[in-house]
Amino acid sequence: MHRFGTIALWVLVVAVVGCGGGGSSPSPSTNFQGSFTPDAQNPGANTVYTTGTPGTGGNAGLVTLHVYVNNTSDIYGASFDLVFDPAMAQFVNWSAGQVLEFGGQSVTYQINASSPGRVVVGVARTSGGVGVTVPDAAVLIHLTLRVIDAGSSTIQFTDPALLNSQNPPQPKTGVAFFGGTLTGV
Amino acid sequence: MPQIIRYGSDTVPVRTGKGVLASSLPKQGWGTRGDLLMQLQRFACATISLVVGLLLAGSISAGTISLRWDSLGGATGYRVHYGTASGAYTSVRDVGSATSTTLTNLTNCADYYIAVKAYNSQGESTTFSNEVVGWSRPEITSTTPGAVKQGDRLTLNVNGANFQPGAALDYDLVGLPTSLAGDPLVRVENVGVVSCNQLQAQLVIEPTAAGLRAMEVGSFTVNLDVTNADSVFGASTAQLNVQFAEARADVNDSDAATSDRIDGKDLVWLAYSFGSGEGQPKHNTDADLNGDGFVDGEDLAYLATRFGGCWTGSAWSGSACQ
Repeated sequence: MHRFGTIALWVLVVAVVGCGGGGSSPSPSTNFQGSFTPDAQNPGANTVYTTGTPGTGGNAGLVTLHVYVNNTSDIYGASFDLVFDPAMAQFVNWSAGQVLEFGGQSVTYQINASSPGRVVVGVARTSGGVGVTVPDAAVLIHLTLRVIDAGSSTIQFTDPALLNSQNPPQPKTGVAFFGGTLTGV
Repeated sequence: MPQIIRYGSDTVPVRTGKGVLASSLPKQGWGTRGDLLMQLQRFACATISLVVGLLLAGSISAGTISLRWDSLGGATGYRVHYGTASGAYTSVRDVGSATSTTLTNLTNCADYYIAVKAYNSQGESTTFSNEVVGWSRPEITSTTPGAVKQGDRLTLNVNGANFQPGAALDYDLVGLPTSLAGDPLVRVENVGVVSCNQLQAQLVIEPTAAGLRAMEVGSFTVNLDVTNADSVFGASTAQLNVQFAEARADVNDSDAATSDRIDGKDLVWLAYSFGSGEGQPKHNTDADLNGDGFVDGEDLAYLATRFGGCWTGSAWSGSACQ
């Protein structure tokens, strides 16, 4: 294949993978203050759950969601859509977690938030074909939303899966996903 | 009477690569020494019944027929007689002492009958050489389409002139990639002549099924030959641009709920094979999106360009699907 093309495409990939976060352009501050209520506080083993951290000061309208993986073995990647009310919130940016990076592994993230109210997320290791075991809880990815109206919206996972290190990777069974409720005042 | 032999060209290419439809084309040679001796004897007796030992029609290009023949002792010149009916030659060209010439401005897709006479100071031979007949050399002016996608099966149109029924098409990609098993990734099938100006064939760009290595994305030079039944051929080159088929980014088929959708599962499958080459244990042929035999950053970039998209029933969406 053409070497120049290879280099050019690699630059693109590195830009996507290595920036450690991204998303839509920052919007003007709103007067709303956001908060997040998890569906499950301590759901136990084989779960993916979500917590939220409200912004402060001029960022009070932002809520950063932390997607945790809890006590699960052999994870090679994850796939899910995060769905919310587009009239209530909009996606701002994302940043890498720590789960798949464990052991210094390379990880690729793909995020598509081009449809309002939906963030399509893909995360995977790119080296070795070895999965990671999470004995406790660790963050898979951080996703930041901006509250743009008063009210509430559920934060739901659709088509979620943790995938193992089989060849090819298969969705792990018995894993439960928990979202929550985003509130703006 | 000596035989006059018409043949296509002494440079007829014989290709052996996969995907080549034209069979080997036997060359026909010049006449025998015995023919020439017989003619010489007749010439020496001043009968000049036939002065051309062998007439060949070769190196034919569109609207033209180039001829060459054996020289004959005692002859000082030759005249080429030709027309569109056998034995009724309406045109003549005196070529002097040359033993070859090119007839030009011929009507495409029409039979031309050609014979030669020799002359010297005693006059012109009384009879013609034996006659050759044929069309001008096939000419390829264009081919469509020039851009295809991986997995396409479509009609290839070869446009030009002088394509005779039964003509063979040689469609040979320079540096054609093959599968691990050595199978061609571009094939031409079911060649048929639509008219003297058009030839059609089915162009198959792999893959047609999962698990097959895709045709490599890129621009390829194609050597085209159309060879008529009389072995006269026309050659040309074209460019074939193979584009990425978005459907290939839908790598994962473990979950029917997300089929026709390019999402994280597809990313994970591609990432699992990341860095692998064809034939290696972790290699997933379906994840080799650009068909270069490796799952690498280029494939990841192709997937990234479609990440979140889905099949709408008529096209792949550019934005995230619901």
